Amino acid sequence: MTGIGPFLLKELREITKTWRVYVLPFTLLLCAVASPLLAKATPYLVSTVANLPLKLPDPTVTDAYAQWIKNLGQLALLVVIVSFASAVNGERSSGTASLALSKGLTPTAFIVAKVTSAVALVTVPTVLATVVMALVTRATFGQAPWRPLVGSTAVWLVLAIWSVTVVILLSTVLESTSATAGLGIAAWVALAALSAWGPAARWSPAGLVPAPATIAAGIDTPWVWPVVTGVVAAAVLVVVTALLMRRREL
Amino acid sequence: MTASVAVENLTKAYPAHTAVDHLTMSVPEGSVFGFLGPNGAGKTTTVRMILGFAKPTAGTVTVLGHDVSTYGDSELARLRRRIGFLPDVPGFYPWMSARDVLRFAASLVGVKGEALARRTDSLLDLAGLSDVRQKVGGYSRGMKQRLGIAQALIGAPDLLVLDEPTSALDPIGRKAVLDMVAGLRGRTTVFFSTHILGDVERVCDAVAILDEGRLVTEGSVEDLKTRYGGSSRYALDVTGDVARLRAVLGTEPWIGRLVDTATGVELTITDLDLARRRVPAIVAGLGIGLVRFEPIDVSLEDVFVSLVQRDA
Repeated sequence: MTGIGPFLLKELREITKTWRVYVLPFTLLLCAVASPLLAKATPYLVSTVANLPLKLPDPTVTDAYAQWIKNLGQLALLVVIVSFASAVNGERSSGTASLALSKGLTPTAFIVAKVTSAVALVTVPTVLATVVMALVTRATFGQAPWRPLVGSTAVWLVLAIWSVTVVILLSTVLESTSATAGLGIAAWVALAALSAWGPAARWSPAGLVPAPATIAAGIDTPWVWPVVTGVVAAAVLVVVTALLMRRREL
Repeated sequence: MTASVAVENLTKAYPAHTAVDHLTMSVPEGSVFGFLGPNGAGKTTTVRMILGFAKPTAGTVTVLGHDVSTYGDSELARLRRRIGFLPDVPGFYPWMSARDVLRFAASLVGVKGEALARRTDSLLDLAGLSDVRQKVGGYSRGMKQRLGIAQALIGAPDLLVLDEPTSALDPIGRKAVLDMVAGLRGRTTVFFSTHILGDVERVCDAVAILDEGRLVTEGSVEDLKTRYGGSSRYALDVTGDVARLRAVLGTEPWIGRLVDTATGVELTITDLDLARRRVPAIVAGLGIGLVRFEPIDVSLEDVFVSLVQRDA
């Protein structure tokens, strides 16, 4: 993997020098701050909007966690997919890929650096946002049990990393960034649909879609096989992507 | 002489067309080699195969003594560190400065320490970008082209592959690049792909002309001019009755082609010794004044146009 060090350093610098440093971290922090507050305010908002003398149950930490996982599973995952849609085809079309590869960077190193920086860009803000989420939840509800929060977020993180590897593979195969994003979303929807089938949810990465919500709710959830198969699937996707990149002509 | 690049029966076929068709040529070590051809001739495809970015359908590519067509990624990566490459439209990360670009390129080819600082400064000077504080995203095409040449040279390459290096430059920038290329002669082999004939004529030792994927001819510029330009083209300027002169000359067997000019005729001569004796005699015999009888300078453009005939 000749050239991976300098190219990975470039990737990490690029995160801090471009819009990428703002979008995903900002989205995750927004989810972290808004989820507990929204959960706390939901009964008041519902009764005000409906203009009915409804007596809704008092919100709990579980509601805050459910809101957090819902936001991660929809908004944040969408941002993850769109953010990395141009990871490879953008560099190919702008000519930067051929310039870097002409300097001795191998295609495998190119892909591994792309995936590594993407995983870092997803993981670091997720960890920070989880801490913020715990602090805001404690301030709002007086408590923030760490096990359901960390467990559900960690499983969501595996789903996000799997999505990153799918999108980077699509970005290597397709010329169009919008087609990459569209198919990335389609892959996510397909995984969610597959999770409706019990065995798939129990034994395959499809289980990564429903598991965070049930873990956050404190329900005993079979997460080991979805996580293991999700990580293995992501690793396989990286290998396949590297092979495809090696075969692609520039 | 050792060849820095040698291609043999190189072919690249796509489902719809053949971009390069059994191309055989060699680029002598240390030379500035012009690779000429009209748009769509297959120049860029050939460059991509030389760099290992595209696999040949058939044939071999040997670069700096290594058969690129059989190489894997790691071997290619090692070889590419010895090659400087400027693509026809160089792409840079828009958030980088020119210095960042050169440092990034240097880190990939393994240049570090004092050599990095020295080469970065001198190449920024060469590119005229030392005092530019702007990020690359705001550069003009000419500035990007100059930066592209600088990054290609950062590793002090054994082979420099330039694809249309002067196409976006103004006359001053163009002169600077051509002077730089000429200055590399003997130290670095320069593979100069272009369709700008004047540039080739100015700096190249040897030339290959490509058309529709096939090699049309190969040789030194002077050799090509002699072979194809017809050192036998002569201008004959006279005072007096040009029509009578033309009528007489038209019957002479040693004249291949006769074209009217404003002051006389242009002759393509097939037997120069005979012409040298007969032309003054004919002019004198007609009683008209001889102003000029001399060979016409042939440019590479004349050679190129005569070899690469295209429908308008």
